[in-house]
Order: sequence, then structure tokens, then C-alpha cells
Amino acid sequence: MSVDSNDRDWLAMQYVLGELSDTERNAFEERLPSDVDLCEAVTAASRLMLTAHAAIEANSSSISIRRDSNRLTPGRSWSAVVATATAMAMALLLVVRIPVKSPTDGRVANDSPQAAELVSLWRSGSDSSDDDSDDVDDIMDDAADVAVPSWMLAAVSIEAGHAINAPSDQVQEN
Amino acid sequence: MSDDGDPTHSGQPGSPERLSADAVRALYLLHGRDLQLFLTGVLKNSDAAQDVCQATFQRLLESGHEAKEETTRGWLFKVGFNEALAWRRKESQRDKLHRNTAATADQANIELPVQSLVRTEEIEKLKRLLQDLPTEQQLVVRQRIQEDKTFAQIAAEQNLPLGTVLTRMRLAIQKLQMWFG
Repeated sequence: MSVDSNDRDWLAMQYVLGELSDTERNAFEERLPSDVDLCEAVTAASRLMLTAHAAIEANSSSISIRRDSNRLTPGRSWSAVVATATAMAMALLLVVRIPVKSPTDGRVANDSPQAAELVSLWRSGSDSSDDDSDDVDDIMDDAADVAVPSWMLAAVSIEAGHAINAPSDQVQEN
Repeated sequence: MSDDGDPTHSGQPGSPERLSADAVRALYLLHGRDLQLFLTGVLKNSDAAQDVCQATFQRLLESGHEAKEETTRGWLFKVGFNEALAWRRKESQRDKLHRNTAATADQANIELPVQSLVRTEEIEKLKRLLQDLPTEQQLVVRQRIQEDKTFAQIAAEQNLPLGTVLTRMRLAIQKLQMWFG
């Protein structure tokens, strides 16, 4: 069998794929022990087939993963919406239930200068960051005073508690 | 087992000493993966190909020193093919391949690492190359390789002449082999 390299490669590929008839396969295999180039062609065909199979399988997997993730996207969106709504509701609840901790309430500042300073710092920080997001401003105008971090609420609460419970002479000293 | 091409039987006097285990390991790292790919193509069974590959390198340890260095690769293909035919005969007799080749490998007294036939970077490259094929060629390649359909089945499903399907596959393979290197 005299074949050019393309024919040889194609023949090797058909051999690897098991597409040759028994007669063709026997003729092909008779050549193998004495034809290193044909062995190399079988090696190349085998490598290409195995790699192509893995590549196609990998593509199929990524497509199915993408489909899965698309299917999951609405669920994830709803989860995010629910989480955001819960967080906002809890923040509002804090304001309603702990009005004394609102930074707009001057009573805290009067009760404790340190707390007032803390709140003032927070307010100035909030004001500057508010400039970055107009959309959020529209929604959160009323909540701007509300969105005080819990660590600050705790600090203010402690300071206020100290001020209220402190003896009057200490207050006067300040 | 046929011994065609086995330098053990060359009858040359004064042959050099046997190859060391390190030398065989080095040759395995150099040619082992390709030999295993070749044997996978012959046997259509990668596990068996691995066993036969190990047996072939055992033969190399025993008698490979009589092969010329520049023809070692050819010697491996030849002996490996003969080992594969022996495997087939045993397989067709009583499915004794694994026990026989495993015992042979044990006798070799050499441990060779398992080499991966498919490499990640090659898969990534081929994924890209496959996407560059014309759609009709991609379809034939996919159906033949992934779905394991015969060309005749593909032709019947696509209502195409068998020759057209074969031509598409052949063109696709030519391109992939050229690109793949």
C-alpha cells in the first residue's frame, strides 16, 4: 500500500476509530511492525481522538453547568432580594425600637461629648459617601440617619448609659 | 508471543550490557506516553494499553540493549505491537490479560509511573480548535467521537451520502491534526 501522509493519517484514524473492515484492518496491521511512520500515525490519531473526546466532554460539561447556573439565577436573585429586604427591615426596627440612639437626636450628644463626637464623625463620613450614589440617596434619604453601624450604636448606648448614671458632680466637671 | 523485531533473537555476539533500570525509566519518560497512545489505538482499551506498555518496557529492560539507540522508538513500537497481539490472543482465549501482563510487569522488577495520555493544555487547545471548524464538520466530529455513532449512522441521521460524512470527518481531522501539531 503506497500512500501519502494524508492518506496514511486518514487510514490510521479510521483504524483507531475501528472503521476498517476486517480485511483492511489485517492489511493495515501487517504493515505496522515494519513501518514506524504508520505507528507514529496511529499514535497521533489516538492522541487526537482521546484529546478531542475529552475536549468535547469538557465543553458539554461547561454548557450543562452554564445551563444549570442560568436555571439557578432567578433563585439566587430572589435570595439576594430577600436578604436585602430582611437587612433593611431589621435596620428600620432598630431605629423604631431604639430612638435614643439616633444621631439626629441631640440628647445623646448632650449626654456624652465623646458620643457626640463619634456620631459627628459618622455623620460627616456618611455625608461624603452619600455623594457617590444618588439613586441610593433617593431611596435612603430617611434612612441615612438610620444606617448607623451596630458597633456605634453600642458605643453610644454605653456612653449614654454612663452619662445618665453618672453622679451630677462628674457631669458638672465636664 | 511473536518475537518479530525483538533484538534478543538477533543472535549478535558480544552485545553490550543490559540497560539499567534508570536508563529504562528515562526511555519510558521519553517514549512511554506515545507508546501507550499507540497501543490504545491498537487495542481500543487504555487500561490494557497501559499494561502492555509496562510489559514492553520490561522487555526493554531484558533485551533492549541489543537495539540501536537511534531505533529504540521503532523497537518499542514493534515489540509493543507484538505484545498487543499477544494480549489480544489471550483476551480472546480466556480474558487472562490483566493477570498475565500484571505478572509480567512484576517480573520486570521496575516500577514505572503512570503517564496521563491526555493533557489539560492540549484539551484546552483542542476545544478552541474544534470551535473553529465549520459547523457541519463539528457535528460529524461530535457525533462520531462523543456519541460513538458510526459514519453510516451519522449519514442516515443527517440524510447525507456516506461519502459526504466521511469527507467532512476527514477534512476536520486534517485541520485538527495540522493545527494540533
